[in-house]
Amino acid sequence: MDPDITSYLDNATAGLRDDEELRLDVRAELASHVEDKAEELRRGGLAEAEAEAQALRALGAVTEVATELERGNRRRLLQRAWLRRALRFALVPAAVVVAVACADVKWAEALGMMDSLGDGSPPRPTSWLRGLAERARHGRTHSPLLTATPRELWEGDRANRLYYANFITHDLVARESPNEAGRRELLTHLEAAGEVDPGNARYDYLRAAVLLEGAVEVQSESEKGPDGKPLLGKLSWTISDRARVDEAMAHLARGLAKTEFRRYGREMLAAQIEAMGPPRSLVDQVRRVATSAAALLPDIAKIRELGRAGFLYGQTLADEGRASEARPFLDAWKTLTVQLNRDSWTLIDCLVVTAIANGVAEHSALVYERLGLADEAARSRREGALLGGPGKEWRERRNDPAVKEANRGHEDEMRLYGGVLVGMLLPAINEWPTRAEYDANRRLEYVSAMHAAQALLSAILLVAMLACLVISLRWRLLSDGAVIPVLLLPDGRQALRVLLLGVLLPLVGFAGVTLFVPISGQAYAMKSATHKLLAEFALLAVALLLVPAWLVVRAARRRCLELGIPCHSAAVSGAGVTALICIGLAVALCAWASLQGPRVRGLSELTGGLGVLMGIVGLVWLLVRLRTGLWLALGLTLFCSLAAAVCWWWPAAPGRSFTPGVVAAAAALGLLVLTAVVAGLRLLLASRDVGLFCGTVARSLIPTLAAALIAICLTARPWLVHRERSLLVQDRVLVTGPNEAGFSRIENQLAERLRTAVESAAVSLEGH
Amino acid sequence: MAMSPELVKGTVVPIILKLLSEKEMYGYEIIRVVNERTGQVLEWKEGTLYPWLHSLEQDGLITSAWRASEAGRRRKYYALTRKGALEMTRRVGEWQSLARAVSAVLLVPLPA
Repeated sequence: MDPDITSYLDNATAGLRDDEELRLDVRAELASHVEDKAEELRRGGLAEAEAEAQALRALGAVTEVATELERGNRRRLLQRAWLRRALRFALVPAAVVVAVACADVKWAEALGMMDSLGDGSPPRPTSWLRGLAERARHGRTHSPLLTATPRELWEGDRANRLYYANFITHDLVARESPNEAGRRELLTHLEAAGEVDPGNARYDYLRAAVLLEGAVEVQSESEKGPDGKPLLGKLSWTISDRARVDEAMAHLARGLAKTEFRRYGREMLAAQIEAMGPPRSLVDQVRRVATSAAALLPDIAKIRELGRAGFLYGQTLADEGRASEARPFLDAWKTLTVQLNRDSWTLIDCLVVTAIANGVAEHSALVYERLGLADEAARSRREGALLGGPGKEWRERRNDPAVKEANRGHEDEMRLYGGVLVGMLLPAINEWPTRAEYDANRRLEYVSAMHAAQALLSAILLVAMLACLVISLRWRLLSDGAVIPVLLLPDGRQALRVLLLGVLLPLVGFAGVTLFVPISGQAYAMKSATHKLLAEFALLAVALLLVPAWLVVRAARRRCLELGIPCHSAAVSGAGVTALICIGLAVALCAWASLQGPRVRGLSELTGGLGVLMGIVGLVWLLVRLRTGLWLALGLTLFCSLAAAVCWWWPAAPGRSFTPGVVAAAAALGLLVLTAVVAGLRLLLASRDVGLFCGTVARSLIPTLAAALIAICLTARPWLVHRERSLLVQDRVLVTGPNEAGFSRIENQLAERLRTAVESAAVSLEGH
Repeated sequence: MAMSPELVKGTVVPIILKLLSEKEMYGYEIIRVVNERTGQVLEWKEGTLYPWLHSLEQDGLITSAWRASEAGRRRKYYALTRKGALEMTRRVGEWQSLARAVSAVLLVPLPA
């Protein structure tokens, strides 16, 4: 353009310099006017230079034009200035604040807890994520019941029987291989606890058990019968310190005379669970299970050993000819069984009750027979059968070959439809929920995965915003002031289009697909569908990153052309984006198809074929339309088509390995990220003549990404939180009732049945 | 014939609105049509047309959009909005009443 014209236009629009976009727009309009006028004059016969000069004069005095332009655009300048301020100082910081506020790493804590509870079946989050979650948790106010050590809790209220019992259990008894000093400390506290809680037999039993350690060596010989079932083995012991044994048995006798046996385990756990409050997320539920696991009482083995010790002492006394003194000890197992049963609340407690009743009663009967007391022997056997019957029956039913065969089907069903926690806790119980009952718990895990996806998407968008800021600053700072990227303000219609098509539509589509079970894959355990989750996430990330970016860049390119800013040829190509979306859709469709299995064979083949077809369409589209970056696009297409094919040929089935599908989907996601990185690098490292365009595109993308981030956080998070809470209410397998201790509802119900049966038997014995 | 700027100023908005009610136009086209139709009587300062157009756009009476012509040149076209059509009708009616009233005074012949 002629320098005089350039100078005129710059001076005429100088009053609009506070709004560069507006200034360039008005400047371009005036330039267009001059061109039209000059062309008309040229057609009239004037030379080009004279035509341009006359066209400029026709515009009028530059100062007058400048003044009028400033007057005529004053309101618009003010409005746009406020809008720019809102975008820069309100929207973008709000996006960062919302992203941080909505960041939820509880899913990492849940996965970490499940990892430590089980065998590491779910993916392991990195330790820094677990640490972040732990710090977030401890930052909140918690009851001392949850945060204080057992010793701190007791020292804060020494008269509290609950806290003293808890301290003895988890601080003293739980110590592995205590030395002599530790043993003495335990005995001292047991004596003190006996004075605080004089009616409780537990401390007498523990004193007996501790005194017996090192004073006796128990020998147990077991053998199997011709049918393979274990026979009653020989039970004996070697006494190295008789005095200590006598003292121990005196404590045992004192305990047997008491009516109460309380470990306060259930009460303590109930208090802790009450302090936690009702579960509002999966991590709360996992925390309850983890707390229940930690509450398992370490002295239960000691009680079981005491049952045998009582019999062995009775046998010793009987062998010494002190039959009358032997009888209370020969029958000690019965009192121990009844007392322990009354304090039972877990399946393990019930099994120990069974073990004592079944194991020791018969040994006692044999001794009675040796003493010539056949009636007592029969009584012992009868009582043992009554008290140990319910547990024995449960165990025999569990070991029945027909039941084992049926259990295989249940276990397959559990692996395919159940969650991770369910898979850890149910197999030992031999009680199986219906397939429909797995739904809520399984979907809870998917909700946690969605929380992780939302956090990851927010992080990706924040990184993208930061990358755009870096690109914009690069052009501003490293061009010696020659390039100052423009913040293009979107009009209302464009902003709405980006929000609807680029953010809400993908979110709604994603929600619809993931909730519509026939195609969502949420009909299967998350462990079986990890590759599909990755494919869904890849598709959502593609849609939420590329579609708004594509819409904005397309609008920015059009606007830059209007403003006369030289544009980059193919920084982000519409054809490339279309192809990437096709490929992402192909991967997702094939992954979905892979999960249908034989149940809807036709549908799986149809969707799988559609997925591969879309991958081919994407490849052809790229070959025809995209000229630059072809090598990257080809590699991307081939790899993603391979991923789609792998997903298609790896259907969900029990026992199948999904690692290839996971690797393929993760690789496809990685390549999509790589594409975004390459596009960013092209904006960053472009030639200087298109630097203004690259910087303008990057700067103008920031508000869009910020708006997308806010929209995602404010729509996804409330919905996910609501869904999680409603699923917790619906869960009939794992979630225990309010203030109800235990691992799971199913185990609690089983333990209660066994406990009630043994209690009924005990009451009937008392009646006799 | 040079017209009084105050008189001309009052005609700018109704003329722009009326022309845009016929079809969408770009700035230079508006100047050209006004010159043609008024027989060069109204010779607007071309540079000061645009502040008027921008002001009308801010008032919501007209909208603008960049378009490429067949020859590939980009021009900013203006079109009338619904609000602008109503305003145009009002202004044209206003002008007609004013013209009749003024003509009734200015065009009465002097008594002989």
